[in-house]
Amino acid sequence: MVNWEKTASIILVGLMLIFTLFPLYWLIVTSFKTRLEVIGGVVFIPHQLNWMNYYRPLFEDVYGAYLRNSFILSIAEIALCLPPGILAAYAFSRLKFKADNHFLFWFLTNRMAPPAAFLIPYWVLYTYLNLFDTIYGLIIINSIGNLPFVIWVLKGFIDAIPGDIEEAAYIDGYTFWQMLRKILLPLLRPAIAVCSLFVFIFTWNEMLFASLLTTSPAAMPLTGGLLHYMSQIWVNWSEIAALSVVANLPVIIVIYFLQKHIATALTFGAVR
Amino acid sequence: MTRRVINPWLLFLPAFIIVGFNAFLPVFYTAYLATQRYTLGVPPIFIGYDNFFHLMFDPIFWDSLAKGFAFVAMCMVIEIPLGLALALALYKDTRINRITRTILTTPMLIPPLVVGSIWLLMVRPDIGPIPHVLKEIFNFNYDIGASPLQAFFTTVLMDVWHWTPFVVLVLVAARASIPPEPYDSAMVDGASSWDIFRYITLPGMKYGIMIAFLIRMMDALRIFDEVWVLTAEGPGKATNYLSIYIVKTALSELKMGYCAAIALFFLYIVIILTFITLKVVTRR
Repeated sequence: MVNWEKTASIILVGLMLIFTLFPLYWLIVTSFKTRLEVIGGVVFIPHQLNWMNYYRPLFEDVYGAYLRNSFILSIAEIALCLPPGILAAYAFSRLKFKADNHFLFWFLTNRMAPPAAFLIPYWVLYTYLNLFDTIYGLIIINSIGNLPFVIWVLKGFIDAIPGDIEEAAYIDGYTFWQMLRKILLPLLRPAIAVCSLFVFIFTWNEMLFASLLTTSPAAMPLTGGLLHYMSQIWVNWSEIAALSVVANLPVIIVIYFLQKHIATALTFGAVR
Repeated sequence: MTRRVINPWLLFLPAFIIVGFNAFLPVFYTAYLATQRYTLGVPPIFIGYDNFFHLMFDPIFWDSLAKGFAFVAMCMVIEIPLGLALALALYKDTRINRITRTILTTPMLIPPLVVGSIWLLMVRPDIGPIPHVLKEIFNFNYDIGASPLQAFFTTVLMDVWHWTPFVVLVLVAARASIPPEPYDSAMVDGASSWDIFRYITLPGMKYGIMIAFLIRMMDALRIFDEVWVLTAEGPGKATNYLSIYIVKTALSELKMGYCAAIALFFLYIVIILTFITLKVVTRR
């Protein structure tokens, strides 16, 4: 008996793999082409690997500085979001306080709010506060989505830890901060690692604020720089492809570690 | 826990201050701006609710809203069935399925801006392989800079590429959570595979499908980066989705007050949708 269901699913998955991978292949191939190969027609395999597309923008132009800014921004974002995130997640998970559910909903609304809606106020506010065109400004603004994310995901993880352990620690005379440091944080270590990686990726990927609230190579991250490059009239497509590949690298590196947690992270913990 | 070891407000406060700084001032300022006629460079004038009045009769705004919802609907119509089929093909926890799922997941975490640049490289008439192949084989003119319909469907295709894997992941989890017993007894009773799908699999995955639908809907409604790079507002405003319209109003036309009015309206829609989504998602 021919198992047509199995055959159909293999064909479907195969087509989907081609559909998913071909654009990525095309991006990588384009990043190695010479200018002539890109414009002179559609070439599926380049004659040779042209590393100039990576070298020139990163080392002879300002894009190396943009890349550095992206790294600083994303790592500083982790440092800003994780400590308050852990404390607030503990409060929401373990302690009852007035209107806690409303506050939790309010946090989530901030995560879901369309960044485009806040564009003008931030622009004016940041000019007024001297935060315009600084990395600090971007670090602060990115927390509007990332901090609620951290709270929500860590709350889920803390909910899953039985409270008896903490109770036992308090009976032994631990203060809250000792308990946090010696018991809760070690238990949460994998969750904190996952959260940090996600915050890194979200911050790295953010474009709208990065491109509109910064202008100079001292502060602008890679996404903003790439957008400005693309809006120029004279455009070298293979360099854009090369910079896009560079912008993808952190994702490619961490995706294996995050694989199990992506669904949880992007559905507010509804899927485990 | 009954014991009060620490004041919860103390733990809650740092996060509240940071997010509050980002959230309250801009919302109030937006609300203030919405009552002003403020074109950049000209001092603002108080005009009350005039911006909202104008909004009600702005054909471009309603067109933009309609385009946004058409985009959402089109994405859902393709992504949910496709994701469901792939999830049913890939839900078993074998080595090969795990590897396939990891590969399929790659587009989800790529910067949206780069998703836009990838598809720009794919579909630009002068350099892209898709227009090239369509022209060579089918003699079909594919140009997102000229045809509004093609531009619209290219943004849908891009979103399908970007987010179908998310639907797959959610539905794989939903399928894996259905216990095996109903399937065993259905086998014994000799039920057809369609009946099994219709009466066991689909009801069992209802919750997962709902989550995927709501979250995808929210994200698709807010879409900005990819479309901004690929088509901006597109030929004949074909891809003038709400976020794009807001940014265009501010940056090209410099109408800050009107932009703020649209932003408030958009925020209002999003808050309602978030409320519905969270009610469903946290129901368990």
